[in-house]
Amino acid sequence: MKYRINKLFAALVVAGVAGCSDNLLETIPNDRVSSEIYWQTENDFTLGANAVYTHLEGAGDFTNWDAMSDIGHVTLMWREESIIEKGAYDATIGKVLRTWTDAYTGIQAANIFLDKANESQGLNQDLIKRLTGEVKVLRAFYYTRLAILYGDVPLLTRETTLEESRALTKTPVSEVWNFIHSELSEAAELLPVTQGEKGRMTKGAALALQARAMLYAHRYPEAAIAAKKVIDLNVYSLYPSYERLFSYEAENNEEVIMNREYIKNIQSNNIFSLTTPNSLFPQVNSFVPTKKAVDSYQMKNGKDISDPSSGFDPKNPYENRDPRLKYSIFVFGDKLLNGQIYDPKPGSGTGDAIGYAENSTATGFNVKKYLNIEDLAQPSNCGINIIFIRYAEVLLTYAEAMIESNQIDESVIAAINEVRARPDVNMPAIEELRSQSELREIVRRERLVEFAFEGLRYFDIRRWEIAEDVIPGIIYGMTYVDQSSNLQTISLPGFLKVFNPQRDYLWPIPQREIELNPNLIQNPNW
Amino acid sequence: MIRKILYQLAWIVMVTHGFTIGVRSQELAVSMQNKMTAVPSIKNQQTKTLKSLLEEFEEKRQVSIVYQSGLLENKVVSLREGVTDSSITDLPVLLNQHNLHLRQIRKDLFIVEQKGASAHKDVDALAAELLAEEKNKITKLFIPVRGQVTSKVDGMTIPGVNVLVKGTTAGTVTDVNGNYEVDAAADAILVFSSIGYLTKEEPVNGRGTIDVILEEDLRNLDEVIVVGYSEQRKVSMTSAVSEIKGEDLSKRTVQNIQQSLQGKISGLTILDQGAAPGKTNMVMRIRGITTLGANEPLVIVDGIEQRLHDINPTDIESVSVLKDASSTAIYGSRAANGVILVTTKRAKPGKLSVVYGGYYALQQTNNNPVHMGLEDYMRLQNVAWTNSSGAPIFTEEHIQEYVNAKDRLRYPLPNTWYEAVLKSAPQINHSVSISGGTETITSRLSIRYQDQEGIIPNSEAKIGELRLNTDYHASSKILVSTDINYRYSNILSPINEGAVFNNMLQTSQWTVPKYPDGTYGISSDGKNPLMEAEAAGTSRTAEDFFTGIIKADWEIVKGLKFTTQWGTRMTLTSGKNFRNKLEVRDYYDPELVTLSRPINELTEIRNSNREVTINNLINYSLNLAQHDINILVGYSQIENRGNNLNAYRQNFYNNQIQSINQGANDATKSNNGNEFSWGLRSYFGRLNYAFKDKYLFEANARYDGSSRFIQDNRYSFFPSFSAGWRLSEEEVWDNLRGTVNELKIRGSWGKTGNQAVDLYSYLKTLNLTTYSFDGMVAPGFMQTRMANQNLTWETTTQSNLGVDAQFLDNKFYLTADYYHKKTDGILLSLPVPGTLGLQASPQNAGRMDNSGWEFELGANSYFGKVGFNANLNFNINHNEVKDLAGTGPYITGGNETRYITEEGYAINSFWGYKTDGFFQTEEEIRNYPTMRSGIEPGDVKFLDLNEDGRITADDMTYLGHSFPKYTFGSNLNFTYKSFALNVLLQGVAGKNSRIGGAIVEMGIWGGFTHQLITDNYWTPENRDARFPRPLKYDLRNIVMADRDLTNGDYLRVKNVQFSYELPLTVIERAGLQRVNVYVATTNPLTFSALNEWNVDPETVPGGRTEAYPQTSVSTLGVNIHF
Repeated sequence: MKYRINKLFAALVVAGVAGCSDNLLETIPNDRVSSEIYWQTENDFTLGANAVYTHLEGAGDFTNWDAMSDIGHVTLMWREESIIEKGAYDATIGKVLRTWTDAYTGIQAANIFLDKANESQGLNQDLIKRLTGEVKVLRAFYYTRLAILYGDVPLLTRETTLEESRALTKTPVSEVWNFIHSELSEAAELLPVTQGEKGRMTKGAALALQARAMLYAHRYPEAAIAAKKVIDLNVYSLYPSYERLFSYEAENNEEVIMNREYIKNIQSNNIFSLTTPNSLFPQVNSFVPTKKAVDSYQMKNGKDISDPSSGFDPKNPYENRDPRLKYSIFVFGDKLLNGQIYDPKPGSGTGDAIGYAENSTATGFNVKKYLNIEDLAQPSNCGINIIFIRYAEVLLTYAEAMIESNQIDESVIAAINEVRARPDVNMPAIEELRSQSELREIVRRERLVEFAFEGLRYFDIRRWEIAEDVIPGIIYGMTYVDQSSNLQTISLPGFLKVFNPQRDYLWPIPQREIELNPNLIQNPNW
Repeated sequence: MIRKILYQLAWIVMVTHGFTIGVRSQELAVSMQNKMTAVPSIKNQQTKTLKSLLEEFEEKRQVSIVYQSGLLENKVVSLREGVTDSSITDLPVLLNQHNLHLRQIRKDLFIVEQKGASAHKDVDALAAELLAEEKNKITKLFIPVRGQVTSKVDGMTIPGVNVLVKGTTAGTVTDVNGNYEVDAAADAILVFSSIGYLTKEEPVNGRGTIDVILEEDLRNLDEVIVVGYSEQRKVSMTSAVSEIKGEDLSKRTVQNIQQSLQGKISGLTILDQGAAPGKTNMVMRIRGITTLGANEPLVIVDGIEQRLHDINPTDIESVSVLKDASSTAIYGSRAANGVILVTTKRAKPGKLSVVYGGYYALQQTNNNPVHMGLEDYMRLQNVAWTNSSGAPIFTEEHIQEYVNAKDRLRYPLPNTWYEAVLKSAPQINHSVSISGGTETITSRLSIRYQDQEGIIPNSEAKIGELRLNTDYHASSKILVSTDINYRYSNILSPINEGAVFNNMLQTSQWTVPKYPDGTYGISSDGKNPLMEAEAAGTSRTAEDFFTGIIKADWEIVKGLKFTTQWGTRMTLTSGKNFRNKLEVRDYYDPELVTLSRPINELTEIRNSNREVTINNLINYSLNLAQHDINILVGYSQIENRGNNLNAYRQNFYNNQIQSINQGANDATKSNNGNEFSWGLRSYFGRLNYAFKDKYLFEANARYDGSSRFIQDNRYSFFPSFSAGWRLSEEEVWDNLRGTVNELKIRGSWGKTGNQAVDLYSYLKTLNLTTYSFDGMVAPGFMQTRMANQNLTWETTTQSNLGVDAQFLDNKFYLTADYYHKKTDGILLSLPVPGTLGLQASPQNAGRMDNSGWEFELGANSYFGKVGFNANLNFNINHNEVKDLAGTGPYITGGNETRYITEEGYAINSFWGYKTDGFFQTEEEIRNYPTMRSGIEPGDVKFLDLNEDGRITADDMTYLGHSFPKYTFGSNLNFTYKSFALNVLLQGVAGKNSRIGGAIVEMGIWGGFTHQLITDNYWTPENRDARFPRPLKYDLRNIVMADRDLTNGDYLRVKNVQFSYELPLTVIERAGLQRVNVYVATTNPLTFSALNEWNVDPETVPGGRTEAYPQTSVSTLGVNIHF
């Protein structure tokens, strides 16, 4: 017995000592791919390029641009966009850092791809060229954001190491615009006019982005040329219905040039919840339109509401207006997606009544674009694509670039009128050539109403340098008839929009970036 | 010569009568009684037959022993470790194991007989014959003496006490009830001794019953403490280790062990931040915050790393907290935050002992915030609206109508959630343990069931567990132990527990929680926390937890021992989160849908983890005259593998059909998962050297390799040294010994590490991402995080100086330590420039220091019949971030609560503006910078500290600590007869607290508005108010500033337990050995500045108090020994 026990014990000891496996410390991850073995096949490159698309801005950033402009107001005053709206932000604010970092994250991903694409050998070069073109458009998109917001920024065109990132210097913004222009020209050469998979960058996307970037850079002739090239591709046209333009049925329609694609459930966005009226889904709305936005829509007869002959009736302010008003904005009396009536009057008892809850509209208006009944059940699970550039922008960019270049001809008027003549908009045409300054006002207003809440207004008022005129002051909202039959206009005297022209035309370089890299010089007056 | 004859005679008698007689001599030494132990140590014991022992005894002592033949047949006894002459010193004890005892007839003649049996006629006759023949007289009259031994500390009876007749070998041990019976001469002296108690002598003086109360020996010289991979005698320890026994942890009704450790151990800070049943939200720090990242101590249970809350509290024998580097270095790369060693109970040989413990407890929230009165709230809102937009929101008629209304369904009060949602909740617990065994097999089985309901609907945790610890004494040199521990827990909570508590405070004014017909009212923000708790869905987590350990000790030769241990720990977690679809309609207008969640959703989760630990140890101890040497070398490896899976579907037929296959089988379904593995391989050793038990020295080292680092950085070395000097052993101390009977000074230095870094941080890897084209999924791969190939351990270097002293014959004791802890190469994700476009990978940068003092004081005394036993621990910790490698400061949080981690300050200090009351006049505003435009009288005046004429982030400054600098606890025990009272006090100081969210925001957003604000806000008529002017939807005055901080110090009566031991006479009739009933309550009294906000002082210091709150528990319990 004792002998057996000792034998057993000896076996245990041997097992105990022998239990040391040799590769105990050599763990290889199964749930990720080592970069050492990647970038070998064509599929690796396709998937590598796909990943660069994921850095395109999402619904939150997209909708918030105009929230910080004169046509929008941020609902919750603790949000960073609200602090920017109030002019109370500085270089330490998170949004300034995040926007910067997001852009460079996309740029680094693009740079890594392009470095590897340059080294690729023995692979289908047609594919590599096409993917290279797509990635270059995406990279140019990220740089466009950086240049318009921050001005001079580091221009990185290949993979950046940690050491390099700590010693970068700013490149003058003009060189950044040069780079964007040449990259997009190159991409346009590499890319087909149409892609087998809708949503991929195309020649049209490269050129349309080039047109936008050159407009932002005040390089009007180049903008006009690029826009004209898009027009001349003859593959884009306006979608017949402005009302349905942002619906699921219109995804990837003939007007869309560049967008961010989504699929419900799998890769979704939350755009419904960002703009919904409070009564449809409480506690999530992030911004609302201002009186400025609503008043910018002309009367159906093509006259401004301030024109005494326009027929504007302050007691029925939403009648006979440019149809795009009601396609874009919920106003008093509209039908909501759940069949209820939108009634934002204070004390109306609905969830939309001004003052009812913190996310109820403060102005009496709500954004309507991108709100689809399909998303009512799950407002944070939307599959609707978000359009960055559509053909109408190319038309108005062409018009504006030509006007600013003082090359005013029929094609300018035609481009503006094409936008106004969309079947369900059908606004009166601009019938005659006008002076440069008159046309400038026309095209600017047209951009406001056509693209309201699509993320263009915030950049337009900065590049036109009119932000200092249109932003500051008290915010106004709806005008309504009160119980004593008097007209009341909602105002928010406690909330002042602020814009400092000496400072605010450029965002600050994020403070943390300067701390980590003293070579980055802060923008003026920050 | 005469003895020789006797021997022969006896031999004949034996043959003819069937009896045996032996031989002997000399006096019987009883001087060894202190070393006698009723329960021989399990480890390393030898066994001998009783017969051979007695023969040895006769031989050595030259006495004769008689006994009935057959009485000793097949009787085997185990000897104590390291004792060779057990046959003499332990004989009465060893005999007692077989229910035998030794009766002395004459100086040199003994009878062995069955205990309690009437004297055997033949034996007596034989003895008489022998005596007669020798013509000696029996000079002393022997009488039976009975009695019970109880402890002075708690009045409990003490089993296993040695009872010896002084000057003889006659004696016995007390049974499980502390009862004994011994025959002694009327003028004899009985000596009572037991480990942990002071030995007591009691003259018989002819008494038949002698009850004895033993005093606890506060610092028994033989007390051993569990340390890394072994045990050490407390007196010879040179490192800073605190130990607490299992029974001291059982006085408080707890959800987890962390709670029972709170306030008990110096240097261990535990903050109870409240948590739902089955979950924990405890902060546990040993000697402050060591690093910026993971600060959790390493927890080792019986040699295997484990979570502390996975242990059944009643299974705990002892908990050791290793604090200084000398004690922790043997755990190397995981020890920087200190180590907690838990040892579970094991069986002792002998009769089966069965113990039942059960309690019923009621839990209630410690604090319920009180909302402002209806009219006060409406008027506050009017002031806020007027300040913001020029007009009030309620007309005077409306206020009057509302206030005077009787129908609170139509005119609901602003906020009644605390009453509607919270309830008192029961908690029941049953535990049974059965332990005992033979000399070859001992086993302890323990079973526990606990059912704890939550204080909100749909909240519950059920725990069932089983532990079986078995020891096989395979031979005198081999001990094999197998431990099995299985535990399941089923936890139920509302699917969005956070929303329940968030909505009670933040977003839910003006509605009826539930109408009489069950309809939920929906607040203006579209919320109802009661509905979130009751109807929104449930989250169920079932966890199966298993550990199996097999361990073998082999004493190869004397003093050389080999130990091998294999342990496996497995955890399988199954989660089922079901989000209900629901529709709420208006109570008065059922056509109107007030809330709609049209889609129900199910997420199933499976996480599994398995860890295999192997420990191999060789221990060699050598005792050469005055030199004690102990050497330990060991090898250890840990292999951990795990994977996680989850699956999602939606659109189930109804909310009851919750099987994953019943969800929509379309594009909405999805699944995900990941897997991981890591390993650790270590070599370690320890050398102890003691000279004369007076000069003590110890060295430890560990060489640790981790898979978390790249090959070149894989292994690291962690040494430690310590030394001690027992001054009280020196001759010069002789005069002082009456006052200070034990004094030791000790010091240590050593290094430990922290390997808490994400797996594969050194590898450049690509992650799968998802995009889509044209409605089709398009996968992508990209690198998202930079790789850091230089990554290695954090190293903490700690020095410790300590003193242990005992006064007035151990009546008082003091332990004091000073430590300095320096953590270098802190693993932190240094911010990398955004232009890098990758997330930061951890880097070894930065340094943080902790230094501090720990004091532990104890007393043990009597005031008349009232026993008093108390200890006090007090700690001071100074934390300072020393170096952030040129980066930082790291500012986290925002205007609500902002923290800074910056060189020169304690980690996560509060950071914000200084203020100077409120602006009182327009002129004052014109003449002082403001943060923004539109500032008016009644707004907070933030100070322009840098005097640059602007209020910017540059004006922010240090505002205070968020982690306590001082922590203290005191445990007080009072006993009187069968009654015992235990009081635990606990507190912290040197800390601030910042309450965030609605509770302090003055109804800005229309959330919960605390009554403290009533009539105490700035208006032109009330300029001295405590709070600024209210503003609607405007946080300008609620900006992180000094005025928002509250002193976070507190002192609370953490627990009070009152217990009563039922008289033996009552319970004996029921066949019970011991019955103890108790009532207890936690947190009955708290002193804190946060009381005015009805906020628990242990709440997260910068929190919104919207998590599951701290609770008080009132308990009624019973412990029964069968």
